[in-house]
Formats: sequence, C-alpha cells, structure tokens
Amino acid sequence: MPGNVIKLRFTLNEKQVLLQCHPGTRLLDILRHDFGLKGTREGCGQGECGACLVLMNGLSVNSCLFPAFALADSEIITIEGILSLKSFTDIRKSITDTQAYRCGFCSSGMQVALAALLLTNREPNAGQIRRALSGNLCACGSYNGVVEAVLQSSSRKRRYGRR
Amino acid sequence: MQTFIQDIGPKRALRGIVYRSPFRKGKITRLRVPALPKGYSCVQARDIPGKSILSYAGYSLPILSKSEVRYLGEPLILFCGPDPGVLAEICASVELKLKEESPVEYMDLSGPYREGQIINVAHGDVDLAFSLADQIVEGEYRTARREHFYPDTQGAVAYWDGKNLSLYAATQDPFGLRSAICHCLDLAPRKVRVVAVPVGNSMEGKLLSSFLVAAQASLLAYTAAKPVVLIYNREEDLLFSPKSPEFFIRQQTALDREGGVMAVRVQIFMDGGCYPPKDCEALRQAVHSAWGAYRVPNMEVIGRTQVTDFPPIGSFRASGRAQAIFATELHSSRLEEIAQLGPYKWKKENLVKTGRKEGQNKGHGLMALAVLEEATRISDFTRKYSAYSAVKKRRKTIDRAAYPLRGIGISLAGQDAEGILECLHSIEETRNTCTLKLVLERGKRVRIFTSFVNCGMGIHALFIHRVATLLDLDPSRISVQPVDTQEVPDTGPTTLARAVTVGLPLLEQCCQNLQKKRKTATAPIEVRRSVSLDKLRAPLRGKDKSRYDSAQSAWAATVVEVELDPVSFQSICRGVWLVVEAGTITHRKAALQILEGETLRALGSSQLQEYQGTISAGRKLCSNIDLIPGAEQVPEIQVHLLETQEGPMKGYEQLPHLSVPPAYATAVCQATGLYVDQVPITAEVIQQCLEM
Amino acid sequence: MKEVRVFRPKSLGGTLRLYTRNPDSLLYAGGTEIIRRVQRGSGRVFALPQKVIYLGNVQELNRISRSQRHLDIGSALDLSRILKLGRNVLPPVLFEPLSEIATPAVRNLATLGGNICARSCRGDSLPALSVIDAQVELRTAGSTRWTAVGSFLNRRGRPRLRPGEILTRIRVPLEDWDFALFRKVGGRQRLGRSTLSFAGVARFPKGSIEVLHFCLGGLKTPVLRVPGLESRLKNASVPVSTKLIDSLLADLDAALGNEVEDSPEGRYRKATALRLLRWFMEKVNSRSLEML
Repeated sequence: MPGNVIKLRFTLNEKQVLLQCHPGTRLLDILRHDFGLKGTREGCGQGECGACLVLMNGLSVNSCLFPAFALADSEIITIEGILSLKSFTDIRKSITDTQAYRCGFCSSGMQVALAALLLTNREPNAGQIRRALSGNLCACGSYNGVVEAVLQSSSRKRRYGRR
Repeated sequence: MQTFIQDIGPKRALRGIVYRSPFRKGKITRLRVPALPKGYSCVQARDIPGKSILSYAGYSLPILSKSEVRYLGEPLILFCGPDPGVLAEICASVELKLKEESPVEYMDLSGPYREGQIINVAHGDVDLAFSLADQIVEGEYRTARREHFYPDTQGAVAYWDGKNLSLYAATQDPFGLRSAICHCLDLAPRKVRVVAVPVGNSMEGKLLSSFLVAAQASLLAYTAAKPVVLIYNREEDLLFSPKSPEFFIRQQTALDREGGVMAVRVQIFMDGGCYPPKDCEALRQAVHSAWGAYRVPNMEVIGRTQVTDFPPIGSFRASGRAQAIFATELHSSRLEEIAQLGPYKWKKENLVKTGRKEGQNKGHGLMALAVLEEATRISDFTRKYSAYSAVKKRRKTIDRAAYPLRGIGISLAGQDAEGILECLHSIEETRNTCTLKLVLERGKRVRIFTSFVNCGMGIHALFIHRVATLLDLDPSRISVQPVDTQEVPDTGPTTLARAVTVGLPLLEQCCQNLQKKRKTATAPIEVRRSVSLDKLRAPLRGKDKSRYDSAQSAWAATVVEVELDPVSFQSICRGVWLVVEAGTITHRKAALQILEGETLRALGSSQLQEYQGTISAGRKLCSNIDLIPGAEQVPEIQVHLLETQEGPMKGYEQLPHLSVPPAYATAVCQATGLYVDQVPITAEVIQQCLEM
Repeated sequence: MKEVRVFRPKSLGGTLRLYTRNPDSLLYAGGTEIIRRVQRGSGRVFALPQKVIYLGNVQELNRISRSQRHLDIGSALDLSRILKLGRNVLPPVLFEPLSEIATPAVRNLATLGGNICARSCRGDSLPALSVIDAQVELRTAGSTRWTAVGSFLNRRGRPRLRPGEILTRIRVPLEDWDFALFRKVGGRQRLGRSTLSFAGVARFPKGSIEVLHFCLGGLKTPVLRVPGLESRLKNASVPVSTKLIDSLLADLDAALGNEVEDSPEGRYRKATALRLLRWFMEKVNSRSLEML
C-alpha cells in the first residue's frame, strides 16, 4: 500500500466502516467531509473549545487533534449518533433541552461532553457537570442554562456547586 | 442542529483562499502572481468590476488593497481552485515587494493628533464653572484593545451562473450585504440573491468582516464562473478579524466645597485604526453617553478618532458607549470618596432628575433609581461595602495579606433606543424603511417574513411566541421564513434591540391587520407593515437635539463582588447582581438567559487579557483563544427584571457590557486599595499598579 | 501530499528495534502537543514527518505497576487513566497538576511522557515530579538507564536523550510527607496569561525539618530547584522564623534574576514566585503547629 494512503476500519455510530485516506487526515475532516457528519465542528483547531468533541471508546476526545492513523479499530460516536441511537435514549433526554443553547455552534460539543459524563454518572451534581464542560467554550455564555437543564432531568437542583 | 456556513457548499465547489500581506505597512512595489495550474483562478484589486471599497455604517475597507499595505494580513489577492493544498502552495509562491514603513502602533495623546473625526457637545459655561471650583479632580481611563472570540469562522458560498449571483453568507444584514455586493460587482439588486445562514454569536466585529468575506467569495465565483466556498480558517479569522479599538478618556471635574459636581470636561480619544471610520457611530455613542446618567450643570465633551496603524476596527456590542460609561463610573467612584458618600448615596444624589409628578410619565431618573435601589438591596451592597472598606483601611499591604482580598462595586448604565437605530444604519439613503410581512396559510399556519436572522439572540423564537400570543395559536404552527432577499422584505440589520424596538411593533401591527382580514378573507392572507426610521427617531430626541432622550432608555444597575488571591492577584467573582428595567418584557425566560450570557461575556472582557496585537511581522502572532470564561469560571449571577408594565419592550442586550466592567473595576479597586483605571484588569495589571 | 509511513508496534522490544533502525521517526503517543504544531488548517492533513512510530498499542508503555515504594507509569498512558488511581494512591502533589492539565477530552489522549517532554507544558507535571524525586526510565534496544526528572531536561528545556533512547516509564516514589502542595497560577482555568507553578513537599518529624523540597515551573529554566535554599532549611526548627523566611526570599529573588523576561509579565511572575514561596513556608508553619 502506498505510504500516503492507509486503509482504516473502525466503527462509526455503531456501524462498521472502511475508509482510505492519508494517515495525517484529521478525524474532524474525515467525519465532516468523508461521512457528511456536520454536527462535529471546528471552533479552534487546537483542542481548546470542544466544538469538535466525539466519543472514542466511550471517552470524549477532540477530533481536531486526532490523526487518521490512530483511528484503526476504534469505536467513534458523533453527535448524530448520540441524537439517534437507541443506546443513548436515556442520556438524550438530559442533554437536548434546545432552549438552553443560544446560537447553537457549541451545542454539539457540549452534548458530547455531557454524554461522556452521563455514561458513567447518571446523577451528576452541578460541579461535576461544570467539570465535564470545562473543555467547552461557549461564546454566548449559556453554561448555566445547560447545567440547569441537566440538573432538571436528575434530582440535583443546586446549579452552582463546585467539585 | 443548526446549519452554519461551514456546513454548506456543494462538493464540486472550488475552494477559495486569501493571500494576505506578511508585512505590516508599506507601499507595494511589486506584486507578482505565479502561473496558475488549469482550473485555478485569481482576482486582484484591478479585476474588481465595480467599487473596490466596502462601505457600511460609517466604516470603509478595501476588498483588496492595490498599492499599499496598512496592516499585517491585509488581503491582496484572491485565489480559487479545487485543492486547498495547491492553493496554499500558490499563495506561498506569490512575490511581494514592499517599501516598508514603520507603523504607528498606538495613539499619541500628547498632540498634535493624527485626527480622523471630531465630535463636540457642550452645555452650560464650563470655563466659568472651573474658574469657580473649590477643587478639580482629574483622571485618565483606558479601555484596552480587545480580541473577540467566536467559534464560527467567517465564510461565504457564492454561485455565479453568468447572469445572477447567489450568495450564502453568515451575516446579520442580508440586504446591506446585497447592496455591497451589487456595488462591488456592478450588478443590479435583482441579480443578486443573498441567503442568510445562521450566525453564531453576533456583533463581534462580524458585520463588516462578513461583508468582506462575502465580497471575496462573490468575486471568485464571478471570475471562475463556478461555485466557490471561502471559509477563513481559525487562525486566519482570529488574527485578521476586526478588533475593538482602544479608548483613552480624560476626565476633569470641578467640585464645589461640599464635593458637588459643578462641571465636567471630557476628552475622548478613540483609536480609529488604519482605516478610521468616516462617520464613527462608536465615537458618537461615547460622546453622547458620557455622564448620561448624572446631573451635570456644565459639560463639555470632545471626542476624537485618531489614525494609527492598528488593524481595522469593527462594530461591537455597545462600542463607544461602554467605554464612556466605564470612564464615568470609575471617575465618579473617586468623587464619591472625596464627597465622603458611599457609591449608592452619591449616585442617588447626582442622578438625572427623577421625573415629574405622579400620574405622568415616570421619567428616566425614576427608572434609573429603581434599578439602583433594587441592585443595592438584593446584593446587600451597603453592608458589604462598609465591611470591605473597613478591612481595606486596616490592611497594610496586599501582597502579605493572610486572607483573600474582597471588594464590591456598583455601576449604573442606560441603553438608549436611538443609538440602536443609528447604529448599523447603512449610509445609503434608500434604506430608511423597515418592512415585515406575515402570511396566514391554509391550515391555520402562519409564516413570518423578515430579514432578521438567527444569531443567538432568540429573535425568531421571540417573534413566534408573540404571534402565538396575539393570534391565539400554537407556536408549532408558526414559522419564520428562511432569510432570502428574494423572499423576505428588508426589516433592517439584526440586533436584539432593533428586533424589539422596530420588528416587534411591526409584527404586532401585522397581527392586528391579520385579525381584521381573517373575518372577511380566506387563507392565504398576506399582510405587510412598514415604518420609516426617521419617524421612529423623531420622538426619541430630547429637547436638546444633540442628545438622546434617555427617558426611552433601558436601565441596568450591576453589583459585582470579587475576591482576589493575595499570592497570585488573580480574581474570582463571588457574585454578580444585575437589575434591568427594559419596559414590558414579553419573553422572560429568554431575556434572563440572554442577560446572563452577556453578563458572563462582559465579565470575561473585564478580566481577561487585552488584545496582544500584530506588533510586527517577525513576532509570533497571538491567536490565544483563552478569552472567554469556561463553565467552571461562571460565578453566581442573579438577573432581576424590573417590569414596569408600562411602555413597549426596550433593547437590553448591551446593558451587561455597559455596567459590568465598571462594577468589576470598582470592586477590584476596593479589594486592592489601588486605583486601577483600566480594563481588562489582569493580575499583571494589579502587579504594575502595586509597583507604581 | 507527502508520503507518511506509520509504524504500529505492539511490544516495547519491537518499538526499540524499530526506532534504532529509523531514528528520524516521530514517536507519537497522545500527540496532543505535536499535532498542534503540525496543523495546516481545515480540510488539510497534518504535516507529519515521513516516519511515525505510533505508541498507542505498545503494552509496556500503556500500563501502571505498583510496589510498596513506587509507582511505575508507562510513558504512553493517558492522563485520565493515571488519574483514575485517585488521590489516595497517586501522591496528592502530583494528582493536582495532572487533573488540571488542559481539558477532560485532552486528558483522555495526552500522556505523562508527552507532558514531560513537551516544551509548552513546563508548568504542569514537572515541578511536582521533581520535588518528589521522580525518575524516568530511558531505554534503547541495548541499554536501560534511570535519571532524575529534574535533570532530564537541559536548560533550554530539551530532553537529554541519547541516540535511540525512548522515555519508557516514570517512577513515582510513594513516600509519606507531612505537607505537600501544588499550585498553578494563570493558564486556562485561572483566567490568566502568565503561567507559573509551584510544588513543595516537606517532612518535619519531631519539630525540625528533615526534608523540604520546592520547585518552580514555567520559568526560563523549565524546572527550577534551588538546592542551596533547600539545604538551608534542613534541620531548621518549625515553625520556621520570619527572619529565615525573609532571608530565603532574598536569595530566591537573586536566583530568579535571569529566569524571567524584563516585561510586565516577567515582573509579575517573579513577584508571584516570591509570594508563592512565602505562602508555602507559612503553610508549612501552620501545619507544623497543628501537628504539635
């Protein structure tokens, strides 16, 4: 196989996929251009803003920092998967209060970060939610609304708790 | 999920790229484009068929510079083609030679000034008052240049079929953009269609830059005769997008023996950048809002833009007004000390007249007082202020303190209606009318036709909610037509304040008309209402035509409590209390959400680093995006809406940007015992003040 | 597009042999720092070198082993998995800086080995690892050596690696300290530009200091220990006198002379470094009084 193209087999939103691409292709670009999954966005390209988050093997990672060659045999879930797959039904209810988000650019990234949290902790407190969102930047400042929406769907109500 | 400009564009479209000057300033002596491979095109300034200068709301900017470079990153050439990698190589092969000049980085306040625009306002006899003064208090206040982070980078997608241009653009003013493109390509308006794509987080200098990128995409599509996608990458957008300019404001106040204000002289210096606006709304806002909340018998305000070689400035939320109010509130905090009154008492005593008798219009003074009293009450300001003052008096030095340093500050600000109408108004005479349309379709569905776009302000949701209430319909039956200049009327550029002061009344009138027509006509029924901006402005002017009647203003009082670590001097906010009076708020939850979000942004701009700037070609440019607080840095924010149930809803989204920075700064001053006369206030700034 | 060849070894032995044959390869584990340097903008591939050795599948580099006296952490293990050990296993002075590195998503990829070697990460794990006398294992196909973290980097912050060497493990001593502290100033979470970090540990049985280490990170010298100052505190009785603390600060002030740039940020960092040491000593004193 020529050095500038590799064959990749991985799972994307619970489906096995096969892709040929340059090993240095960003996962973000693979998702957006090769698979048409536009929910994962580029906000900074440096792993700072969280707009590009996806779940990889159940953990949130920045797809803007992830090269194709490290992708093989991974399990990737994007925001589209979180919003449609049965396995995320329970989590979905907690993270899709659309009124909490304003312009919506950062919402996918926030929802992925929250999904990663809720996969391991179904009743997080405010501090834990904020910690999970600490890698997401919202220029509209809508954090409190998001924290409140997640808390509303669990029994915890104090939205200003710290970790 | 929202669709943004980065999400659209056909796969077969060409990609665009902007070749930018790597030099800071100079006269171009040679600009040579390499031979282009097949399928690649280029556009230079001489290729622009129409006007090569973009003009909008007082700002002017060349689309592509021809003979000189005024700032690092100035666009010089456009390229398009199928492969971004090849485009990057083409850019790297461009030959540019410049006769370099030394840029003037900062304003020189010693004079003579490199002046752009000057605005004066005055009333009373300032010279006489100063001659009779018992003491004169002077201060100089600086609002630093600011970077603005928004995650959605600027971009546009353009299609040219030989006769007509279709443009997808993330812009708040699709009709303004259409007009600009028509001038640029020398086309009639009917040949240009603009489809507005949702904008992420509005008013961050994006207005003119959205026009610029759209013009660039249009030129490429026009030249290549193929669809073109031009999206700035993250670094490019951060480095070369418009920045907030620096303001220096000198204040001189003449006081009588009791510390009462006799007269005020204000000199406002605004950095106009390398393309200073000819008719600068920000400067006008600054001049007209200086001391606007207070009673000043004699006043003189002179505002100047200065020409420097700072990159182009842009329109930002509350620009000009925020800086002037910051200087006023900081300066008044000194006067409070001299008069030996606490901030609340001083403000109450010096507030503009508290209005007329009961039963008549309450007047702006009462509204301002109401928000001030409420903010003082809910934050327990008076008690905390006294307690922290006592601690401050006992403390010897802040860097050996054994416990965190605490302070609390309060400020007052008004957002006036006329300013919103002036702001963003195109300089073209023909755009004086705003129109909105409503269509009742079969099946009791209603569609709203407006040029106001989705930009994170909940405007569409506000309109839907209002129509649902007035027509007694389920909101799910109401929709907003996608904003396409061929389908919607021109309601003007989008801001929340305009939506509230112009759009909502038009919508309400449309609903009334629809109700009437429904009785006799069958669906589909179309109603349309228009208003002239001149007519709207007239009642907003005060008796002194040079100043706005602040009775129409929305008001906010903000209290900020801070705690500074004596080791690092880094501050955390213990609480923010924002009390707002903005008429009858119809969509309360959204208003609270917006005010909270804007408060957080305003806090970020008060605490975080100033723009580092494109100092020289050799130095690494700053593209640091640690510019907005994260989820763990959000303090307790309480927003109270004082609903007067009188009068229409007023625009309010600027209020946090006007009132939070001075409240934060005065809190830091109390906590540290230092006079910190600038914002943003970082730990480094406090260290500098300590060493002085 | 440049040809890039990616090797994906599964064992340490294989990795070392591969690296010996291809010494110009880029060693890639989490890659969160590397990848930012080779970004090329949207839609374009990372500008990787011609050869990359991906360490993500090398078992020996991705595990933790533990004895009574130390923890051995694989250099390619991501920070999230290290942090799962918890504050009771990982020394608190190390847990703090690791838990504050970057963001949760970055910590799912970033590695301790990368954090030690990357020039932009000076204020994170290094000061803490230095004060607890952590060591790094450096291996080639034919040799193994251990060296203290503090001396692993040269004055310019570059790792002192011999040809063919890979950082394979980080050995963290599990010692009891009477007092341990880490503090970071500035950076993302603290809304500040000038970053600086401080780590300090102390043991003071029977009212006098047996050991006291402190380290500053984020200065020109990536890991600044001042052994002369530390040794002056040995056997000093606790609480430490104000006179001694003032004397230490004066000496540190002199030692910091060339460590900061002459700018508002540099002056701030120097003044803060001095305040950090004073603060640490006051905390030691408080703790010693509690223990009496």
